[in-house]
Amino acid sequence: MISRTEDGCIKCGACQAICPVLRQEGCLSFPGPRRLAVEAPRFSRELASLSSPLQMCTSCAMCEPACPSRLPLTEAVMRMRVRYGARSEGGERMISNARRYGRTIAPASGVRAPEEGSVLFFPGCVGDARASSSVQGAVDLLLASGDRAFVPEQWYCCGSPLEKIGAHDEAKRLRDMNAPTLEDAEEVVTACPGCAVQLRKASSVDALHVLEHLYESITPSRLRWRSPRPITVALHSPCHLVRSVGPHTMDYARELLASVPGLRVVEMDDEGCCGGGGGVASALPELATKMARRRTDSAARAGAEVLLAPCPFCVVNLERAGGLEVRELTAFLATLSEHRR
Amino acid sequence: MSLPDVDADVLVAGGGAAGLVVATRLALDGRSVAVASSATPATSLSTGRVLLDHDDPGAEEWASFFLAQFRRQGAHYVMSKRPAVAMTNLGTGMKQSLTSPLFDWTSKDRDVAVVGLVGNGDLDPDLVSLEMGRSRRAKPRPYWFSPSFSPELDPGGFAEELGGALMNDVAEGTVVLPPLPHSTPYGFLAELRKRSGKKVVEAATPLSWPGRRLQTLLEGTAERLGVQVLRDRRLLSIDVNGREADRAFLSSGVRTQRVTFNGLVLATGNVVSGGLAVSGRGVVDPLGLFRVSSARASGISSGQLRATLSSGLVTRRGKAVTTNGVSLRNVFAVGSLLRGMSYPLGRGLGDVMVHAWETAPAVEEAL
Amino acid sequence: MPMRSRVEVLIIGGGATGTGIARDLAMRGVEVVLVEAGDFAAGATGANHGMLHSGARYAVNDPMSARECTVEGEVLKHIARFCIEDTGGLFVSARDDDEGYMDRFLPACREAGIRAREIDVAEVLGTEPGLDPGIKAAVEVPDASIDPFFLTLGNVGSARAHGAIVMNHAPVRNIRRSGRRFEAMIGGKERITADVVVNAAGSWAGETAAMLGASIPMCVDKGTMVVFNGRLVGRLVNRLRPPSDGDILVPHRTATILGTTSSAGAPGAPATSAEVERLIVEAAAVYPGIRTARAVRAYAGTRPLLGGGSTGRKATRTFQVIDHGPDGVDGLISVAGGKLTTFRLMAEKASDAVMEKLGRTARCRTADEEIAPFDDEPSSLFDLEAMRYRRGRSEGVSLAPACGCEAVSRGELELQASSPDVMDMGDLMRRTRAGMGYCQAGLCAVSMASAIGAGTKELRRYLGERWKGVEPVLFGEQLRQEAFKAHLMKVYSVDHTEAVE
Repeated sequence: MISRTEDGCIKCGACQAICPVLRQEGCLSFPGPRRLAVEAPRFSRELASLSSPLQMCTSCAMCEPACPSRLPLTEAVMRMRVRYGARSEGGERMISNARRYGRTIAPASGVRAPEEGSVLFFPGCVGDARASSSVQGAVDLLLASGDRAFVPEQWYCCGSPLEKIGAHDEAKRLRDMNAPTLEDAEEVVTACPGCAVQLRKASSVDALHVLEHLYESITPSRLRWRSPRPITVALHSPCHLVRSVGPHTMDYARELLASVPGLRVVEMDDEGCCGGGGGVASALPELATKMARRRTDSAARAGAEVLLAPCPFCVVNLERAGGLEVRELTAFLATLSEHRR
Repeated sequence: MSLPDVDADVLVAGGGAAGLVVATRLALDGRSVAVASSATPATSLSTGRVLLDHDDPGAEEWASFFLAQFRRQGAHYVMSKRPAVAMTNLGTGMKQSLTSPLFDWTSKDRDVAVVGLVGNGDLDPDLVSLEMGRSRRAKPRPYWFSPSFSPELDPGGFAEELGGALMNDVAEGTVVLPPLPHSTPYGFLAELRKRSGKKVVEAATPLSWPGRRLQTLLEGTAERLGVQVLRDRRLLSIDVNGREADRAFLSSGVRTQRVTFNGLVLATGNVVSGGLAVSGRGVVDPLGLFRVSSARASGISSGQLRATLSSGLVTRRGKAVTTNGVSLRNVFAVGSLLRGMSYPLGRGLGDVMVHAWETAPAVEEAL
Repeated sequence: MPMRSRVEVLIIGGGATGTGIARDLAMRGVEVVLVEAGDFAAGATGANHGMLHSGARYAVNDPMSARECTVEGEVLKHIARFCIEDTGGLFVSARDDDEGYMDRFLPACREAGIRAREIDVAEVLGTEPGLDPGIKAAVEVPDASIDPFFLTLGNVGSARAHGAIVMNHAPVRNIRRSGRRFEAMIGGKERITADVVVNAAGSWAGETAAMLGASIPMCVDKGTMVVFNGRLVGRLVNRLRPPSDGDILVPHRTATILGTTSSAGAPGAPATSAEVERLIVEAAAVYPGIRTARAVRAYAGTRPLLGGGSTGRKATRTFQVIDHGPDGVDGLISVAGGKLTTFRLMAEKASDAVMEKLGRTARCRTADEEIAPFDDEPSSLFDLEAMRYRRGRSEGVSLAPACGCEAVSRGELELQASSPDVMDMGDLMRRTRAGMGYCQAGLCAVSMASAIGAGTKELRRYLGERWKGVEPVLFGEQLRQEAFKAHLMKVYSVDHTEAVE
C-alpha cells in the first residue's frame, strides 16, 4: 500500500525550500523532507543508508503548512525512522523509564500545587523533570488569576514521544492509566504543546494549552500586572505549538504580552526551529545547539534582553545555546502578575 | 472546540497575489478585511515576473500604488518599457530574466560568466551557456563555484568569498548568478558587485522562488494597511443563506474558527494550490459548493491538460455561481481559481493582480 | 569506435537476445559486430513486464515454455544478480475466479519442474496487506523482478570485455549477399562484410529477413503495461486463472508494473486509455486499491511471437532458431519468439547454430560466468548507495542531486553521459533511471539535457516522448503533477505535451 504522502507529491519543492535543517546543513548532509518522506520510501534496498539523516529531522513541521498538497510529512518521516532506523539510546531510555515510572523521564521534585481543584494542570514529563520552574510559573499564574488549579498526585506520560518511536503498546498502557484522572477533571490545561495535542487526539480529552486557557477562559482583561522596569523581549514560535495546537496560540501570546505595561516586544528577522525536537537534542546535540544559537542570535540582533518561548522543551534547548537569557513565557508572566504570592 | 470569532467586512480566502491585492484595495477604501491563507500559494512558486499592459488604466493604477509600497519595503525592481508592455522583475534585484522567452539575453554585454553553485540545482550554467551561445548575442562561459559559506546563513561571508573568487578567477565583465535564497537581503547584489568589481545579475528560474519575495512584499503591503492576515488556516466550509454567504469556518491547528463577514472573496488558486480538486479526469470545487467548468484556451497541445488548466469557478458578473446555478450576491472569485486564469494559459501574475484590483469596487458595492 | 570492415558475425538487433548472442559468441572467441538501430533494449526487451518468470503462468497452456523458464530463471539468478530482485511470487485467485483452475495448475507446475507450493490465504494477507481480503487461494512460486535495461547493458559490457564491437544508433540501411559473404551498410556510412548474419531483430525480424529475401512467419502481439508509483506489493502477484488481461503486478525498483494486454498492433503503437482502464478493472479484483493508486505512465511493446499457429494468448511462447540455408539464404540465422527469461538459452542455441556455420567447436560458457559483477557492500550515502546498486560503486562523482525520484546525482548523469553510446536523453534515462520517477522528468529534464550537452530541441523531443506514456494515465494525482509541470515547462517556453517527430 502506498501512503497518501508518497502519492500526493507534485515536486514543487516548497518543503525543501523551507526546511530549517536543510537550509542550515545543506543537501549533501541532510536530504530534506521530500527525500525522506516521499522519495526514499519508494526504494527497498538503499534505505539503510538513510538512518543517520533521518535522525536530523527535528519534527518542526515547517514543511507541512508549506506543502500545497497538505501532505503529513513529519508523520511520514517519523514512520520512516521506525521502519528503517534502529531505536536510539534515548528512545530505549524513554521506554525503560516509562515501564519503571510511567514517565519518559524519571520524575523530579514535582510541582507545588493543590492536589484537588477544578482546573487540572498536566505538567508533562519534560515540564516536570527538566523545566519545573516553567511549570511552576504556569501553575502560579493560573492560581493567581483565580483558577482552582491543581496537579493530580498520580499522572503519567501522555504517550506522544513513545508513539513517535513506535512504542504504541507502551503509549496505550499509560494512556489507559491516565484516563480516569483526566476524565474526572472539569478542565485540563498543559504548558506542553505535545501533551496538549496528544491528549486531544488520543485520549479525547478537551485539553487546552495554557495560552489558550489564559486567553479564552481567563481572558486578558482579568489578568492584573505589576509595573516592572521596562524590558525588551522577543518571542520565539515553538514549532509544535504553532503547527499542532494552532497558529492562534501565537496571536494569543502577542496579545497577552501587549497587555503588560512596560513590556516591549521586538520582531525577529527570521523564523525557525529551536532544534530540540524529534529526538535531535539527545541524539545530535551539536546540531540542536547550532539551531538554537541561530534563534538566540536573531533575538539579540533585534535588541531583545530576554527570549521568551511558550514551550518548556524549546526553553531547555534554547538555554543550551547561550548568548541570551531564555524564559518560558507563562513562567515569565507569572513573575509579573500582580497577584503573585 | 472553537476559537473566538473573527468578524470582518470582507473575508478573503486565499493569501496569494490575487487575494492580497483585492484585500489591499478594500483596506485602502476603509474596509476591515481578513485574509485566510493556508499553504504555499502559486505566487511563491512563480518567477515573480509581472507583465503589464501600459495602455491598461487598471494596470497603471495597480503599478503606481504597489510599486511605491514595494519601494518603501526596500525592494528593488526593474521596469522595462517595450511598446505596450512593461516588465517588472519584482523584489529580486534581477536585471535579466533567463526565463521566458527562453534564454533571451537582451543586454549588450557579450562576455558573460554563468555561475553554478555546487549543490544548488536551480541554475544549470552548462545548459544556460549553451543556449545563450546559440542565440549569438553573448559569449557565455560556465563557472562552477563551491561555496564554504551558505548564502542562506551567512550572506556576508558568502559575498566576500564569491566576490573574491570572481575578481580573481573570472575574466568576463558580467556575471550571472543562480537565484539567491529568498531571504537574502536586498543589498546583497550591490555588496557582491563592490567586492568583485563585476556587473552581477541574478537569474530567475522555476523552483528558485523569486516569487517568494513578491509574496512577502504583498503581505507586507496588506498588513501595513491593517489587513488581518490569518496564516496557516484552511477554509473548511462556507454557510450560505439564500443568495448570500454569511459565515465561514477555518481550521487553525486542531481547532476551528468561525469568521462572519458581509462579503467573501475566494482566491484559493487552482489544482496545484488546492483551490480546485482533481476528480477522476475532471476538476471540481473541493467544498462541493461552486460550479466549475473549463474555458476555451490555447497554449498547450494536450486537450485534456488544457481543459484541466483552464478549469475554474464559473462567475456571473463577477459573482460565484453555486452548483445549482444560483449566483451568490456577495461572493466573488479572483486569481487562478477562476476559469481561464491559470498560467500557463493566461498572461500570469500581471493579469491576475490587475483583475483582482479591478474586482474590489464590485465587492464594495455588494457590502 | 574503430569500424571493422570484415568480421565473422554480424548481429542485427540489440535487445536481450541479440546482446546475449554477442556475449556468447565473443566468449567463444568469435569476431562479432552487433548493430542496433536505436538504443539497446529499444524493442520488446525495453517494453516488457520486468518479470523473471518461474514459468508457472504457462504451466497449464504452454508447458514447454514453462519448463524453459524455470530452468533459465535459476541460471539468471546466478549470473545476473546485479539486475534481479529475488522477490518471489504469488498466484492468487480472486473471489469470482474459477476454483477448479488450481486442480490443473499445481500438477502442471510439478510436471514442469516449478517449485510451486500452496499456502494459507491468511498468511498471504498478512504479508500483502493490499490484496483483497476475499481472495480464495494462494500459491507461492519463485518469480523474481528483473531490470531489462540493466540486463541488456550488462550483456553489452560483457560482450565488449570479450572483444565484441557493439554499437547503438547504428541502423542497417541495406544488406545484400556479396559472394559467400554478406555486405551491410550501417547508418549510411559504414560498410561491414560478415560471414554469418544473425537476425535478432525481434518484432522487426520479419522485415530484416525480408531484406535478404528470406521470410519468417511472425505474429507481432501488442502488450500494454501501467506503471504505478511505489511498490504496491512485496512479491510478484499473479492471477490464478487462465492467462488474461491485467493478471500480474510486478514490484520493480521504485514502482509497480501492472500488465498486461494482448492484441494486434504494430511496433510503436502507444498505450491507450482504454487499455489502461481495462487493466485497472481487472487488477482491482485482486488489489482493490489499484483504483486509487497513482498511475505514473503507461507503455506498450510488441511481442515477437512466431506465427503460423495460434495467435495472441494462445500463441506459443517458445522460441525458434531458424537456419535460412534451406530457404536459399545460407549464412543467415534468425531467432524469434521466446521470453526475456529465456534469452540466454535462445542466445545459446542461436550461437550453436552460428558456430556450426563457421565450422568452429567452442562450447557455450554463458551460464558459468556472471554477466556483470555485483557489489553487495552497502555504502553510507543514499545517492551513492542507489548508484552502487545501479552501476557498481563510483567514487568521486558529484552527489549534488539531479533526479530526486530515482536518487540520481549530477555526477552519475555526467558519468553516463560521457559514454559514446549516450547520444540523447533517452539513452541517459535508460542508463540512470533519471526521468523514470513519479514526476516523469519534470525536475531532472534540464539537468539531463545539460549533462549530454543538448539544447532545448532535444529537451522538447524527449519530453514529447515521455508525454506519449503519460497521456493515457492523465487522472488523479498524475494529472495534478502534469498541471504543475506545464507551469514549470512553460517558463522555459517548452510545451511538454507537444509530440515532436
